[in-house]
Amino acid sequence: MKGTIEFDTRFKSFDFQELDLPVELRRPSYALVSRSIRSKPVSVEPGAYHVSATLPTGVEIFATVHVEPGKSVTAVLTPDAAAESPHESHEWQHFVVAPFAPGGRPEAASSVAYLRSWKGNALNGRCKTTTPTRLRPRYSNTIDLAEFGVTPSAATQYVQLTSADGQRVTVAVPGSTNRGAVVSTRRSTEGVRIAVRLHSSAAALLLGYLAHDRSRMAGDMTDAMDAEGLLRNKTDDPVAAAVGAYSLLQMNAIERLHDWDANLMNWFTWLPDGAAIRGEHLARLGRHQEALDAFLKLRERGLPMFSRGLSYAIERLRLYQSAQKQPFDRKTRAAIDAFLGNLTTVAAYVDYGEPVTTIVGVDPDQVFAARPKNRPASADALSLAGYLFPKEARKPSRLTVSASLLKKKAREVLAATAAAASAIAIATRKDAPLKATARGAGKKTIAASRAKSTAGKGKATRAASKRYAVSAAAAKAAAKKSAAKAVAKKGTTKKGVARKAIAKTGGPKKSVAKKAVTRK
Amino acid sequence: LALFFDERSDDPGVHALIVGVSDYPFLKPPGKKPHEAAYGMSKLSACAASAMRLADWLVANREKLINRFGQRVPLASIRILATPTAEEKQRDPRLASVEAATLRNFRVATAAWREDARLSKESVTWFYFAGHGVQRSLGDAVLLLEEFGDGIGGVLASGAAVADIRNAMSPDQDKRKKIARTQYWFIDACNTFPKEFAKLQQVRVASVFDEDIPSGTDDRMAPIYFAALSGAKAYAVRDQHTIFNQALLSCLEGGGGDNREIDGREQWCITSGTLDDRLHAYIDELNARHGADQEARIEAPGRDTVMAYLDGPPPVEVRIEIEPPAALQVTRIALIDDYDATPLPLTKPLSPHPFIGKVSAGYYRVGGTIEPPTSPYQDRPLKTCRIEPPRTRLTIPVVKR
Repeated sequence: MKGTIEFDTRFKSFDFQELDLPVELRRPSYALVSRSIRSKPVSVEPGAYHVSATLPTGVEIFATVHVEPGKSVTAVLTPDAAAESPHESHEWQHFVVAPFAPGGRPEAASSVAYLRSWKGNALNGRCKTTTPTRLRPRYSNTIDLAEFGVTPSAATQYVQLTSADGQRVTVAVPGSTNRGAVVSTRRSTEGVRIAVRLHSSAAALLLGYLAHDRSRMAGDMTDAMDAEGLLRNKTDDPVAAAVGAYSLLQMNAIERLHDWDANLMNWFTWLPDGAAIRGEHLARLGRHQEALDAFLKLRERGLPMFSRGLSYAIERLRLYQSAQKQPFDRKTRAAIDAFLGNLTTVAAYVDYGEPVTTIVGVDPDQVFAARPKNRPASADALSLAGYLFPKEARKPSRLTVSASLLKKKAREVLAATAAAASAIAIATRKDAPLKATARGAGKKTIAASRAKSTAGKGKATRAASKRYAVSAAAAKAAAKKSAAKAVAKKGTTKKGVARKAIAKTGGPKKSVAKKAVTRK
Repeated sequence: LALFFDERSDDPGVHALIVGVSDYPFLKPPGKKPHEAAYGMSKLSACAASAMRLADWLVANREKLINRFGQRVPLASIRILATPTAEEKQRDPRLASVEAATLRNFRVATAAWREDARLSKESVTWFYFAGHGVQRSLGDAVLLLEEFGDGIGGVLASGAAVADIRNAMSPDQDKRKKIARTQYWFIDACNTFPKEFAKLQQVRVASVFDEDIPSGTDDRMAPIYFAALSGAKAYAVRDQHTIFNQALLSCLEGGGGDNREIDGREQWCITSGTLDDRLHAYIDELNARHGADQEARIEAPGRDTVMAYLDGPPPVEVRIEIEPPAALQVTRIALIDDYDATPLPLTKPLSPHPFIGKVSAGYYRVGGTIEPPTSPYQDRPLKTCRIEPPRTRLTIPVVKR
């Protein structure tokens, strides 16, 4: 008579405790008996078994159990003390993104790093920065980790990490109309890095395995868990459904997609990935005209939020473009050519190594520019100072000032004091805190320091670093440069800034208008 | 073109196409400034030898190859194209007599390879390319053949796209209804996107087949093992083999072994999944040894499938250490296998320390006893550990942490 093995895990956080990790069951002879997931018990012959699970970052957890006939036993998998996460709050990062070195503390990296949010269609360059209030601080220890919730939206959103020297990495935020996502920024000896965590834990874990090239575990998980379930429950979380569908395509288990991906495409028109998934599915079934129609929907829907979707679209459209015997009419072929040109231009800036679409080195609205002019981060960014850096480097909390808000304020100022001049201030830099400036000026004046050093010089090159750490060294150098400049201008102190602002009050209106134009 | 190995019959078989390009005639040797059309690339030194090494493994294991349906399928054909360096030819004279890896030869060999593969669904294909390459998308790369850099035609006029070849090898209701449904693809090349190739995506590559859009369902099991991550480089040990090739061969020779129950019997074998897992481990080890930073990746993995049988469990190097070393004189280490046997001659005191030996992959119990009891040390009860390729380090702490 067979017995049953159930699985349980012991982690510090509840979220992680509930995760359906893929588990493996082996006999003492090492023979593989079964692969399952934490929530699915396995029926086995009586005897001894070794149970193990590998987390995305490579941490392995083990348990040994003895099964008796007709009885159930629970294999409790617990990380070794040496492999544990340093804190409950760090568990996701430690086991899914990158492990924390034991006892290691990040070096005192510069605090000059910013987050910006973007929205729109990067496939036609129509992307805009949005108010950073879409980024809600969720957790911050001001040492090495800060997390921000991203407000749900029925549009493709991006979060961008920029450094003072203009490096920039823009990551799609796969959130839906009713589910947001979490953006985490992490400081390490390499600098600051950014990662996005999906709302669905199962989808996020699956993505974690893919990000670490653990395809076998992702495959096991897809096999054992209800990947179809993710897809079936698309109304609840269409982004998780897209991840489930991508993993089924990766496994080439297309029969398990049924026709659910058609609904994913048709019901959630804001989700570009629905069209990419459906297109690839139909292409594998040999239904190429329908596949092409699906892929061409990306023109309106935008860049897929997952890099695999972009890859599928490019590979299929290339095939359709280059086929000797063309099944498509001339007009359709022209549409393929034009759209493929757009996709490949964007793809030149996309890092395929990241499962979530990641644009490197250029702002999403500058992808098609012959000479991209990346906007300076300071205009509409959320400084990570105060969230990710220690108290001594902490900046005033009112750093989250959006460009549109500032412009609005400027307009109000101009209307109210027609004779008075104002310079528009952006205060995300250490040397130009908005609060201090405003107080120093004592009026409706907003300071005038546009952080020149933070402006990217339009270098549309791909970052050399694989994992997008905005390098500590580069940030340090930039901070040094910026500090030197600030000292030279004598505008670093509150007093200094105030003096400057006051001095400018009363200047000609013309100059303000001129500045506003240049700023665009 | 002559076949390197030819035992073709009407039965399903394994058909391999193996290409290695080292001595790119239009590129300069490493260390010299590459000319403009080379886009920073120079001659290579180990790709042809790497290709030959894989062919040798296939021949040596010709009766142990398996298709996705779990059937044993004998090796039927190997086609090799290689452009070796003089040193490679000297080390392996067989390389002097294989066909050169030119675009023309590649087209001819690929077409013939497909003809063989399309005779049976139960057949298996292996494709291996070692040389320069450029990434185009997640599942695509351009393989640069011998003529690369000759300045004739477009930049990639002598490059073949993996996606095109894979597409031409996909099932088609009219032409390739019975094509092999088990296909293994190994791309041992860089996966970079040179800055200079900003417009690469619109640059035409060579056409290998006059291809139509395939009709019918693509139900292949066709994983692609890329030697490098997206945007990253692949490396070789000069005048030896590529890092990826060394790792691949270590896996195929046993390091990628796993114990599976097949028809009620335990059988050690290489599977597509364990190959993926262990390639990473072997490449990490080679990186550490040679100062490289390569990482492999797999695309379209499909289900974990047995690729080849092994004769038994792979031997694994195990390193045993007592922590702290000061406890060496009073600690007796025990390493016990599944049959309660001790596979290693572990003495007290452990000599040498750390002790390095080889045992078969599998589960063991390891522990330490303090003889005679000595403060502050304490016994370390037997604990189960897993010993897996490429090597396992066992540290036995005998002081309470």
